[in-house]
Amino acid sequence: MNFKKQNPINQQKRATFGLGLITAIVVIPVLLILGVVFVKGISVIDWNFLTTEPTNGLREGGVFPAIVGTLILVVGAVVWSVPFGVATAIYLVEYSPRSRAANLVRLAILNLAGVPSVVYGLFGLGVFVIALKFGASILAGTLTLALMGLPVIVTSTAEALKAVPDRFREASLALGASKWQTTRHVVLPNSIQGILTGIILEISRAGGETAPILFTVAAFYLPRLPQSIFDQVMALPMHLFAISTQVPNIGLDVRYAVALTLLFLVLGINAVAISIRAKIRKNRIW
Amino acid sequence: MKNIKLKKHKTETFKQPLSEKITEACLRFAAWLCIFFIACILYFLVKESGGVFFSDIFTITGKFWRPISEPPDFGVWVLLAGSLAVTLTASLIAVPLGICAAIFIGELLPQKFREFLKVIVEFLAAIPSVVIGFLGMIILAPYIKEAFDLKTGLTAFSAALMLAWMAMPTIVSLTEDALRSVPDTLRDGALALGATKWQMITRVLLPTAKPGILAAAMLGVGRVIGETMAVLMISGNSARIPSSIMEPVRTLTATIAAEMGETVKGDEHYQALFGLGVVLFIITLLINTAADRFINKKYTEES
Amino acid sequence: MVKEIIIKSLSVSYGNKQAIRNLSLSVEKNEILGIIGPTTSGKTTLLTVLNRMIDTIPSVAISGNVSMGDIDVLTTPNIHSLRRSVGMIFALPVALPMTIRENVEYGPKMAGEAKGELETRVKESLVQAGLWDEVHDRLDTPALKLSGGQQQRLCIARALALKPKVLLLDEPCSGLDPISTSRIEDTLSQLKNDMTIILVTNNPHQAARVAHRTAFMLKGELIELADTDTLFTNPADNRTKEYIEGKFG
Repeated sequence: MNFKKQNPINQQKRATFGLGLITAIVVIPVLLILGVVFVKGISVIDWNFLTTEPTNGLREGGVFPAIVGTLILVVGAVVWSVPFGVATAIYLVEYSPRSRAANLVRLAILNLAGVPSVVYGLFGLGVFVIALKFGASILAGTLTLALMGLPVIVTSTAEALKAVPDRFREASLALGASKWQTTRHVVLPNSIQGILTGIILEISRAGGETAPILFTVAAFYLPRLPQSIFDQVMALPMHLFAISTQVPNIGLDVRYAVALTLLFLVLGINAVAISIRAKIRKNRIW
Repeated sequence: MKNIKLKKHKTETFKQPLSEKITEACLRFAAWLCIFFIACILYFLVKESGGVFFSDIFTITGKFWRPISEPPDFGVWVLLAGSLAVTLTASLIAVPLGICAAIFIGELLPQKFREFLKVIVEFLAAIPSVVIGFLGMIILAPYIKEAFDLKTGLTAFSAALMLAWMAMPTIVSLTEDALRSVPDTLRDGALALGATKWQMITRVLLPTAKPGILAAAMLGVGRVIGETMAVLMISGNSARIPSSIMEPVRTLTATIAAEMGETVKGDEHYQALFGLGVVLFIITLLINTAADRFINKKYTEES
Repeated sequence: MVKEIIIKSLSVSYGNKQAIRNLSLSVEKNEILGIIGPTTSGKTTLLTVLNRMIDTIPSVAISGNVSMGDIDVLTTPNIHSLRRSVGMIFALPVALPMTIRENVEYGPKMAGEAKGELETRVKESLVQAGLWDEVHDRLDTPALKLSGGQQQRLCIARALALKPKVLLLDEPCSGLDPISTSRIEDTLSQLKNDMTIILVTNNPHQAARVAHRTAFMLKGELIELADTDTLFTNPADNRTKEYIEGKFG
């Protein structure tokens, strides 16, 4: 055979170039999206826009109730999901790492994570809104979001717990400490930042969800703040959906401004989580 | 000779302080709740669909979805076809690009840039789907309409393009994880034999990480099937079986989101939408369980 | 001599791998018993049986009988109090990621001892472990900032804070330099007045320096147990002789 064999070094160079190009194709649109939304939306955003209520059938005014509503929803979702999520992760990692029951729990969590958001919405509607008679309300919406966030909390907490080296657990047990004492005094203090990072990421995710709140809590137009957990609220993602698809003759810049507000909120929270995590990695002493 | 087998739980829970037992019971209860939740979701979806699966109007192979005609027609196939068209197209884009990007970011890029790109990928994951849908509607759709000379830019292809990017973070980060879990000894072994880094990647890394990468691809696909808001806004919402991906379609998820508001509890339409929920639940359950198999396979092969 | 620990025909296996085979020996009160042998001879396993740390390893099967005073080690319901009275030092120093003071206080605190006593207990233990002079002015700084040798002595102090009857050391100097090693050996010689010490080491010279009696283990079996002098100068078993002379190991 006579054809020349490719020089492996050239081959490597070509491959690196090709893969780099593909990575650029993946990454650049993200930067473009952020850039375009920023440039087109920033002109509308001022103090007034953030602190007043929408008027004229959502065409004018601000997004204050939607911001408040979104904050209420994410706080509620975290309050419901964190205790269960963290407890589940502790059970899986510290108490029962390889039993059959633990595997079943793990599979359940994997599948909870895979259930489409709109199916959570259906479930929330069927169970919380209708069967339990909460109506479309903050209670129903936050419970739905919490259920959806549960797998995220469990997975991230479990990761944080697993990052604590086993030798610390052994040292603690060897000193006669019980399992819970070991978890409480050695494992948790050294994984708390990682757990917090997971919770913050979940906050940012819940803040951007639309489908689960569509039938369970979100109001199309409700220019006042909620009085109790049985009230509906407006929410930023729902608001963007509404003005993009349901309201005719609305200025494009207003829509960009709502999108930008939502992105600011979600990515801002995300950035906080990422910086905490970077700090943990840098300061980790073991 | 007496033979006692020390089992962790037998010995450790025996005569433990009460507080210790209560704590463990609480933790176990929380964990088992997760199993209860997933069972609960399936139970309620099935219950609320109220036996619509056994009626004549709701058919998996039906080609028409006409909820308000008399009598109504709930043909799932037309929506399933829409979901499949969007999902397959998006996967064809996202899986190869995502895997390539993961190899580049995880293996070829210097550490400094790696962190930066990972943050961008995370930001991509964090962008709410309604924002993606909004941008798809007002930027991508007009462009697609122009470029391909179509009646409308809201097509299966437009939706698939946006969804491909939404699936990318899942595929990229899970593929990276899979590559990273390949032991360093294997890498060093290959490099020490004089292989270039690229040869090491194609001959050692990729074959070893294959189950993990497959799982990454499947979970990415699972994400696409379940995606709702972006598809609802970009795919054109036309319940007809498409003859090409350049036509508007309607997916399972979009149908639920768009029509649930018009129904009354217990009527046929309400039940039919919960029926779609069951179909979606089962599809994603199958995908996730299969992906889990691959991940477990990876672990057993390692040990 | 009073016997502190009596082990009768102990066998341990992990899955289908036998780690200890039918081992019997007794440890006398206030002696330092050295255990030498190559890796995988079952030395570490023996230690983990004595304070039941072996429970943390899944699928272990144990048979035989181990008694410590009137406690039946293998069946005692209260493993937490067993572990408090049988301290264990690992091969690599494991200072917990907290301050020096908190490290020493950790055991007594978890045992529910009164807070008032802790202050003096911390000082006593650090003095006993020979670390007090070096750290008394920085008790509230992170323990992980100490050097490896200091961390290992901190681990000893931490175990001493529980006033154990027995101290198990698993190759405590394997990662340390000669100076740190000799400081720890000094500490051990001091401690033997108050407790019984079992020192596992894969460095026969260390056993020769500090142990009263030395046992040689090979592939899970006890080959020979004798006064340290006898074992090193006139071993009864040929395998012991070869190991000491460095022919394998």
